[in-house]
Amino acid sequence: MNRAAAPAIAIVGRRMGAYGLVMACLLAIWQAAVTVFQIPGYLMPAPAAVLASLADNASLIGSDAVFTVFCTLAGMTVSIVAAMTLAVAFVLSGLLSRALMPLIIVVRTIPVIAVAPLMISVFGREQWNSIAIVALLSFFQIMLAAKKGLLSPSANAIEMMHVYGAGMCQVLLKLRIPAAIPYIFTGLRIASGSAILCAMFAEWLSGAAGLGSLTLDAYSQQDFSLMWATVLVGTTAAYLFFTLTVAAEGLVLDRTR
Amino acid sequence: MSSRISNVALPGSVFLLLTLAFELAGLAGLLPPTIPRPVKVVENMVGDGAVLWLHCRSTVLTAACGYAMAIGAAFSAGFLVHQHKALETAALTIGTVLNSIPIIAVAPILIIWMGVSWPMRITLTAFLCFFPIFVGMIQGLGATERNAGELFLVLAATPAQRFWKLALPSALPYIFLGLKIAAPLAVLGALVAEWTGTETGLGVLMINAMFNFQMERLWASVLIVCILSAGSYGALSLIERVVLTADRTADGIAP
Repeated sequence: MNRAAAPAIAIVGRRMGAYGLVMACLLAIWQAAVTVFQIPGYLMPAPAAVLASLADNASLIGSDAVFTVFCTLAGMTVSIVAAMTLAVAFVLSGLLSRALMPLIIVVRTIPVIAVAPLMISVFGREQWNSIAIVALLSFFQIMLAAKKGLLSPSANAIEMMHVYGAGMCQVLLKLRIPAAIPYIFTGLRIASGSAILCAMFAEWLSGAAGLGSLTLDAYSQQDFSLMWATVLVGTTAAYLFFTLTVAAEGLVLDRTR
Repeated sequence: MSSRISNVALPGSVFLLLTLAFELAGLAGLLPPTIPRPVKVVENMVGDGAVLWLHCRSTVLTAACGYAMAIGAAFSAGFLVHQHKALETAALTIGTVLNSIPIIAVAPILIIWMGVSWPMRITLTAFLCFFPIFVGMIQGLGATERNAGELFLVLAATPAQRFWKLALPSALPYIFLGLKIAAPLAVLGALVAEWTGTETGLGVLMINAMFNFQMERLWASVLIVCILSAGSYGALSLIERVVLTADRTADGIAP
């Protein structure tokens, strides 16, 4: 277990190290610019002030970040389960695919923000709204990627499975799903980067306690150091989420290879 | 032909079945108060038809004007970039930066500049639509076949001729992709502009219905928005098919 997980930990360490380095450089340039040009705090607070605000409000930001991350994880889990189930069903049944895919394509053209008032009414102003919006937004990407992956084995490979007398389930378990894993991770990777930002956006609309609401509150109270601190935490969380997905991808692909 | 009918009939019947299921669940009292029965929503659409139509008109007007403005801006910018290749990287970078500003952050700035007015609504919509069309233009204009470009050069075509007769037709598939992505965004832009405090529009209707807990009206307005955004996408796909087929047959290539 430890030996197998080592490359994944190395990936996370390397990526987060690089991220920290880039952030440190950016903050240094930012601090220098603020000091040299004497930019007033209401335009652009100095990183030192932002970090101080981060330390002062650590417990508030921490609890809000936990809420947002929880909503994101729950939303992603819901959408992965739903997307995988539907993708498998579509591949197994052409009839189902022809009946539902056009509806899904139509729904996909509708911007989620446009139906946000409806989502808030139906799912309430608590965590369910964030979970639903994250799930809805990442569902399409993961579903389409999984479907593409499940259909990716060549006709020859499928024919060979049939020749050996494999049933539908065996073709699915031994051929289609392993072939789909890289595609699914691609979908996950695309979805994971934006998932936390989606959750923040959902909170922004609904007012549920989370990083998004905290950003908006800090803005309306003109507490710009706190606002930038929450933006910093949100960005870091999004990047960490993305990195963990990449690491999981490496881990799973190594094992299946 | 029969497969084409079943392509429409299958999803259509699934949709009807789902609606029926919701109706029955509503009659049995299984639905929460926030999900009205479909029949009630339709009743509301008919009963409030005049109000809905009034607000729908203003949303459609905003979306259409903003969309047209975005097309105009994207075409002008695309023409400029096509004439001066050096501008391409700069234009794309500026476009990407502008595109990554959240629309909710743009709205207050536009309100400061223009007030809550029609120009503000249209500009906000155009801002949201511009980027996909522009990227489509740039990608498409770069996809001109090399040989054809050389032929135009040898025959001493003017820059305008090169643009209208060569680059634009070969860019059409890419441009249509951008136009299709931008069409639902136009509806979204109009809605976001209306949320900032205008007096007419489906967005206003939606928010008021949400706060007054008029669920039938909320669902009716959201349904109309969905029809508008999916319909605009569908209409453009149709136009794309007609235009691209006509274009290909004009060249003497079988479609």
